[in-house]
Amino acid sequence: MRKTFALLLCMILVASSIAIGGLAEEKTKITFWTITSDNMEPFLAGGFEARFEAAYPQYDLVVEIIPGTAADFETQYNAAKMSGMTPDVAYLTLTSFASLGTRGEFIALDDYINAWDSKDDILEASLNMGKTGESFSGIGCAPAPVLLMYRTDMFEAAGLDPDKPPTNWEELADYAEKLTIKDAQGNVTQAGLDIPSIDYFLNICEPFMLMNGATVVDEVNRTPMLTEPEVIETLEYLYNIYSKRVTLPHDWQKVETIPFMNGIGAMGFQGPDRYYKLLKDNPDLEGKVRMAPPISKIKPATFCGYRLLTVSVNSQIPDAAWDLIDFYMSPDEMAQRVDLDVIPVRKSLEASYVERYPDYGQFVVEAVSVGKGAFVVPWVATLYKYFGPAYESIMQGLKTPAEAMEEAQRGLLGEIS
Amino acid sequence: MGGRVQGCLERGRFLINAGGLGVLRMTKQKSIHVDKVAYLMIAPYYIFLILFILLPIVINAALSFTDYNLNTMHFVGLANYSRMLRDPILQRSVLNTFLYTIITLTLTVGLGLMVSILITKTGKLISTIRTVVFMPYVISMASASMIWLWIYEPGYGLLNSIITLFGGTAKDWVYDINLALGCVVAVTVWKFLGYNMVIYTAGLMNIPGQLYEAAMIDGANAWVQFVHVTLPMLRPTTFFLMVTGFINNFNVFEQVKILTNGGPVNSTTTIMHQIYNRGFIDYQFGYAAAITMILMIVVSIITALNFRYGSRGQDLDLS
Repeated sequence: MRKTFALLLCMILVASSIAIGGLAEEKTKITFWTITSDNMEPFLAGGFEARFEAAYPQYDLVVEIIPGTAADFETQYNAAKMSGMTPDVAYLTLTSFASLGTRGEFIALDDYINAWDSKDDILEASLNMGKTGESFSGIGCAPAPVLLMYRTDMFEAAGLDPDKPPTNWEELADYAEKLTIKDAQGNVTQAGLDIPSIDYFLNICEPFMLMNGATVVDEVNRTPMLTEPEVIETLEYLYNIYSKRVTLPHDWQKVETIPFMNGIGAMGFQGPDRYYKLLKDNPDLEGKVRMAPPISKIKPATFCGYRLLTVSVNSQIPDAAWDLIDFYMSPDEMAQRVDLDVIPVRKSLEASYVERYPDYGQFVVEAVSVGKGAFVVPWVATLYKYFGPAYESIMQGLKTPAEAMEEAQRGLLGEIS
Repeated sequence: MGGRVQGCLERGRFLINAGGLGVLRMTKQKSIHVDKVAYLMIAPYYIFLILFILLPIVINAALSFTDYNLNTMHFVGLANYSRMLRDPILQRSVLNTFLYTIITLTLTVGLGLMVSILITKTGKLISTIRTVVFMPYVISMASASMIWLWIYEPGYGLLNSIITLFGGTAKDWVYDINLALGCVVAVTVWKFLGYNMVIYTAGLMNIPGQLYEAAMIDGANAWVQFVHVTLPMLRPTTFFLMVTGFINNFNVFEQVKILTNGGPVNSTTTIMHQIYNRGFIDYQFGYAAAITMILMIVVSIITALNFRYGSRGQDLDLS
């Protein structure tokens, strides 16, 4: 009797396990990878997963934040591809999108976007940002512009009017010198302007070249144009400021090395996400940090990166992946991100950002309108590979801008042609 | 002829020529016993070796003749290998790697020996000093590099703070083309010094005291004892540290990636850093595989040379 009872109990337990397992299997698992971002992390921590699963009970969302830089994200994505484990949905930078998207790593979203109720409410620039050729391989969900930020207290201490930030190249160079403080030995104790020593093409070089009217890269014909006179002139300008030691050496990709972010720099080019982080980490700076409208020479320009959402070409559940994108882009979710200083890409929410951030919201919107992201060419990483050492050799005083760019152009053409 | 033993197989018979004294014929009466359990016990290691070491080497070798970019793959013959000869960045990385390896190995082995001798003579403080010097070894290289990134920081870093405190001129450290490689070397030396010290200390403790007593009776001073007793007796330890140190240093990557990412102006890029960049940044996996093959061959040759010429004197019999 006991044996029969025990056997029966075992059978019930096994049957229950199978039933529970069966129920669990009914949920479709969606994997979602995101780059590290100062405002994405608090957004995810604020219950995004739970809200999505409540709205779509049939899905099980697994979010993974990939640590490191955008390049590290790509590395991990490639490693995942080699092991057949790419995420269904990825939230990535425009640079990663350019190199992965042009290699056909993402599915075409045309059918989904064309049938999407929200399509008309999404900014055209955001939609177009996700195009590779004529097809949509992703959707731009958050602009990431870079603006000149400055410390009002340091401006006042240097006798400059905080209400009149520099607007052109001459003023920028002049302010940089005035804001720099050196000790008796000539050591910089306060940097006037952040100019990276280690190349980060995107935030400084590209926008300054565009301000000067350079093409830099002919995206249509996929040709680099690093020897343009406007490119050379821009690098001469940057070297002239750098050589006056108005800055402290740093790497723009390593936030902990940036003078402005460390409170020892008066002016720096940063994005709203870093502004958000700066004030969160240093509440005493509230009211002392401001943003300026885009600097101009021939025309105003700035770097405006984008964060995009994509669906992997290996995803077995593209419809579910699109449901996640649709939810992420919904007005309610986007409105929540405005509180974290994320610029909305819905026309209906555009005004809310300016209202929420009256001090600088308008400048950010302006920066987005004149901003340009990474060049969308398949060899964008190779461009950085040759431009980086060339830029560094200029800043180290080893080569003239003309010599360095000649060499970079030759090396780049040799590799991509 | 005496003592020479020659064996050969001939029609199922095993012939032993014992010093020309005659031929002993042994008929193979039963087959060699095969211990299946023993084979089973060592199988995991060999499976691991085949799957995770030999097979990847074969795959890598095959990839090195292609232009594999994660999506497409075509046979390109020796194109990747010939490209290495005209790739200035790779050539720079080879030079940097050799420089880095020679300097780092010299410093870690040399300083390791010096510190171990010093602490064995400091008596009571031996364990404290050993712990302090060894501590960096247990920190991961990524963490150690982050710590040093802060120490090298030109604006508020520890080094420049000390220099400026004494009225000196601040340096750009990892951002200076002339100092960057030295900065990377310093981190490695700081981290691995303790390990070398511990190994050398163990070696020193194994040197029989009577050798020093005999040397003293013969009138040898401390320096002569060091040169003629300590160094020869530590030869196996030095050999071990040189071989393992060479392989580790030649594969340097983490500290380069975190501290300098190969810059400025490629002054700190290394072969492993180039393999990573070509493979995972440029998607040129065929080219990266070709560099890996050459790296493997170079490391194998230098390790073999080390074994050939560095292992002499390991057969000292003090019994």
